[in-house]
Amino acid sequence: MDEKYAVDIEHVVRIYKRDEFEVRALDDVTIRVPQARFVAIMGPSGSGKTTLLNLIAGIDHATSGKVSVGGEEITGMKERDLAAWRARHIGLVFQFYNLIPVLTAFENVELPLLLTPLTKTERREHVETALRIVGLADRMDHYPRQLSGGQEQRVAIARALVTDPTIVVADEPTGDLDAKSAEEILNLLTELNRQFRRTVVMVTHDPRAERFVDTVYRLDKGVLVGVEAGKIAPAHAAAATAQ
Amino acid sequence: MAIPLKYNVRSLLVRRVSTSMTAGGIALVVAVFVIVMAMVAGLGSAISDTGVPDNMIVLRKGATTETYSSIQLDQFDAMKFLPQIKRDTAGAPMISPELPVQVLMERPGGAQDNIVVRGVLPIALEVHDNVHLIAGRMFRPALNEVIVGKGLVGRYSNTHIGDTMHFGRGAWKVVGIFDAKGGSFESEVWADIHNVQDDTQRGAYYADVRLKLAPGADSDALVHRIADDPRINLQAETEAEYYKQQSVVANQMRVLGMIVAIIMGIGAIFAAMNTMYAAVSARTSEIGTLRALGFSPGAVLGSFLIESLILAVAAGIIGIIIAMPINGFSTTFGNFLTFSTMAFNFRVTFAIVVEALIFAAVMGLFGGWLPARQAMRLHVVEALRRS
Repeated sequence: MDEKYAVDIEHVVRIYKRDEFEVRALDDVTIRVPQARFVAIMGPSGSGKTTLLNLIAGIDHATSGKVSVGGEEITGMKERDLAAWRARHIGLVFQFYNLIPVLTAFENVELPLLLTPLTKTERREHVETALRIVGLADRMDHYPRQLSGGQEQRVAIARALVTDPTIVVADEPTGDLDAKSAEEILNLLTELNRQFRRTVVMVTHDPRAERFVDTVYRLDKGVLVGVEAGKIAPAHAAAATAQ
Repeated sequence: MAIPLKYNVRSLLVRRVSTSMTAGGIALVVAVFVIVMAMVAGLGSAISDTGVPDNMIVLRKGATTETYSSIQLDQFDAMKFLPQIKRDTAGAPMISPELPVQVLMERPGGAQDNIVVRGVLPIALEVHDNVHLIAGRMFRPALNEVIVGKGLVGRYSNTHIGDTMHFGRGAWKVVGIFDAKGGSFESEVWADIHNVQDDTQRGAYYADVRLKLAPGADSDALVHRIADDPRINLQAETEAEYYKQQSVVANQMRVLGMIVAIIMGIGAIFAAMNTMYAAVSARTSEIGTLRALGFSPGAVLGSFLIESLILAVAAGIIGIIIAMPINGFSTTFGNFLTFSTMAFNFRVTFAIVVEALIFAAVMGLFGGWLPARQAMRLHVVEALRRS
């Protein structure tokens, strides 16, 4: 295993059992994502994109094969250890934001920090910084129902980055947004990747995403069918080159 | 660190209707529990508070209550100068022969109850030093005068000072009201023992004898002397022991109350369980999110258990508040051991409040356990799919 890879997946197979049937969601997939890259996993519905993302995020187990993230193999970890590992290393962004509706934006972003040894004051500083980065410093006390979809997703991104995770995984982060908001979210993820050098792995159907990412991994029927360079927009490419 | 408490509190407040319904159910169960326990505490207290620590009661051998006892005058005479009996300032032994009889007394509404009329001598007020006149004066011998326990005043007809009561063969003038510090004497009428003997035509005997122990007296020696002296041949025990046995009535009520409370509690547990299952079902994706963020299965279990606990304890507090007005409420109880009616006050004690809260918490824990376990066992990926 090589620590220069943020994600190192070797010959992973994931089989689900549905009643008496077995569904082979991933079939011998091997992917290596270098550090500080912004990559997209794309493919048609049922191709195994989200399954692969779940394995990287440590919320699902491979039937066989090895999954290493941030230089740490997580394949054999027990659920309790895996939960603690997720809290330290993974920032999650979901299609439907998955904010807790009874908590304010501040409290939602603070949630993962409750699993760290930070003091209340330190947590407040981290949360305020994260919300400032996503441009919602003035919406801290708003509940999710008081925010637009784009703003909710920004809060979710703030929650994902507040712990300074090894890797940010995003499952269809633009899937529930209008074009303008989707563009803003993709820009934000790009900024996260470029400015803070966080590895971002994103599952998406959105063809616009190709303009923002370094690499596109294409899956079909659980099999990796292609690895392509992204079509980074000129502004982003310039920023990447400057780094 | 655990999932923050505000998550649970606010989630409960969001589901106002189901939370209120469940809380209402638990609150009513707790209220019933408090009321039953307050009744038992009041009854038990009324019985046990009747006794005085340094008093003894003497009964016929084998008698379990005054009702089944009789003592002849020569037995009384043989025991009244025993050295273990305290003397008053005049040197007279503090020993009180007594003859309680049951009479029917009428309530203002027309219903009738058995009430104890206790024939005593004036020394009784010295022996029963928890009994005090609070109005009027002591009865005078041979004049068919009575003093009335304050638990009867107003509850039965003609129980005020100056009234004339009619029971037995005669008319009895009320000349005083007495207090017995909540004890069962407050549900009695006291009259001159010789008047009572004449009126009931029972002859010259007593039912029992109360005596006050001299300071430092060996009560065991006195018990043996009273039992073994062939002139006396009676059984003696402390009033504390005697009334402890009498409080079996309260204990039986307590068991009955507990059974009712437990059956109702089981119903409330199912209500809480239903609410918490609904909560878990409605918040599956939130559970998945919390787990995905790194909260352990144990944290999820704890969070939902605490939520159920908050619901139940809050409902318990409401139930206690609902039941509180019963505190001090006065009622009567037909004691099947003495065949008489006893007035007592409901007592909501601190212990009952604590027990009620524990009872509510237990309902919350049992009601929340299975739903919380289901929440804990949710597979993260499956839970997130419910988004």
